[in-house]
Amino acid sequence: MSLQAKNILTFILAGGKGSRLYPLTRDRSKPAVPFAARFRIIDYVLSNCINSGLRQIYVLTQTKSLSLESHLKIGWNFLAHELSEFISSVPAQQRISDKWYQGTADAIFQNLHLLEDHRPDHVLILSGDHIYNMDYSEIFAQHTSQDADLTLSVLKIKKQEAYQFGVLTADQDQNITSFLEKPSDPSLIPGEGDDCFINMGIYLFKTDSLVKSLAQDARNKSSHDFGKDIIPSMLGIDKVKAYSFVDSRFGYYWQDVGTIRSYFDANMIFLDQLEKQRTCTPEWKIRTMGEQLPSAHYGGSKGVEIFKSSIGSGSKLFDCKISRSLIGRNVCINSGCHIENSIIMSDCVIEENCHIKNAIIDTNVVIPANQNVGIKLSNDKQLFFISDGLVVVPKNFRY
Amino acid sequence: MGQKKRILVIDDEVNICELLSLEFTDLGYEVSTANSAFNGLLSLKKQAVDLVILDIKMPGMDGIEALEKIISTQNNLPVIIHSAYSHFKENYLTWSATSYVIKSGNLTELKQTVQDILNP
Repeated sequence: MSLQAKNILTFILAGGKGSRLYPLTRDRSKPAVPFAARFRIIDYVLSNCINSGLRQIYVLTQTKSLSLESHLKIGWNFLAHELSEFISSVPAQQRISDKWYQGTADAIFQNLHLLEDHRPDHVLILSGDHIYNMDYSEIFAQHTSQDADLTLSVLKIKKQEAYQFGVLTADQDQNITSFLEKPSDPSLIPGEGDDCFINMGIYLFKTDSLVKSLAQDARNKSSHDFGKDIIPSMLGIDKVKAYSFVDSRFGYYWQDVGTIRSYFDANMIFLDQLEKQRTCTPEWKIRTMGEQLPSAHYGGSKGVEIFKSSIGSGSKLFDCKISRSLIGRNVCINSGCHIENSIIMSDCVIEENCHIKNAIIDTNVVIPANQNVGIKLSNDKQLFFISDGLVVVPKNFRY
Repeated sequence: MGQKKRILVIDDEVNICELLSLEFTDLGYEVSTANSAFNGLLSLKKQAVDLVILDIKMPGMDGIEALEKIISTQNNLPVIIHSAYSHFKENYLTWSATSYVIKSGNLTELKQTVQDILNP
């Protein structure tokens, strides 16, 4: 079922600073961080929206938004405005006060005039910094059939990982019975071993119920956050339902790329999923900004050896070896180089005889000839940020 | 006897301001008035009040915008929307008001609402 004809307004919360992703977030917000050396993180949620038939989308931005704004303007400006379709970025405008967004709920409250302008029946609120595929028409079908005030998508994960999320419990009719943000002792799902339900930051509200809750919350001394304030305040009063993501069409993968390690792992899982043809498939495309570039070129006298890797268009590889790596667009890797278990983002140049291992090279970096990265961490740490054994070379770096 | 509770009436109709001022003064409140949203917001900056009675349709800044600004600076200050029109009740931007009373010649409902909020 396409949601195109439904009266749904979508908000994507894209103001995340992504402090734990530093230095990838030195010059950009978390949703604008490149992913799979080709996309931006926000491309996943935007693609989910478009593929689900959603056509009225506001992207709420806040800090370091220039990179994200230009990405949206150049890559996501294809909807028909004359048909009331749009993807529009809304910077924190301080329209009614001189405060920035105080929390996720405040971001919507400060833009309540957009709800008044559109008068949607339902409001879908999404996070712009998660990697997953989801057909939102499935959650919408459950939401409307149960006549819920709020339906939130939940994921089943192990208890030892659950403490960093909102953890909830639900009864057999999907009614959410408890909700705690980042609990020290997460509640288990009865009869499911040490599994817990966590909040994925995907909220589908009946508009009236959303506004009522936001208006109440605005009057309270709170952190104005959906997880900490809005959802707990609705329990026992409104019909708050859980939607089981794992039972959905693409329910096999969801990742909050909160740290350098989880970001790196998600990139490598992308490679695995490409191999299994579980991502970027014709029926669920991931869209992004697309510059016209020639196909990747493999040259040199001895040839290029590539194992389980992805090479972006416009890239030129000469007499080198690439294994389990993601190479972005317009990258030049010269002869004698060995790239393993690494991400090299677009517009980088790797000169001759470099060995790069367990590294993330941000965009527009030049690695000079005979330089190693990720081989001897004691050397690398004098220049670069190292997290969990991964070396991160920041954007525009020159030795 | 405790200090008198203070009410600010923001309404562009001078007659309404005068009427409410007289009636609520009689009930033991201290009442100040402002005949525009701008003046009302200025008054709130200068003097703290316990409750605001706010008209919607006013020239220049309307009561809806004033309500947003009041909440952004004093989020726990009770605001009663006092409008001749009922349709603003549907406007999402009025939902953070504490109460909504439609103007009428009979002030019983407004008085009761003020009483419920200030002397529960």
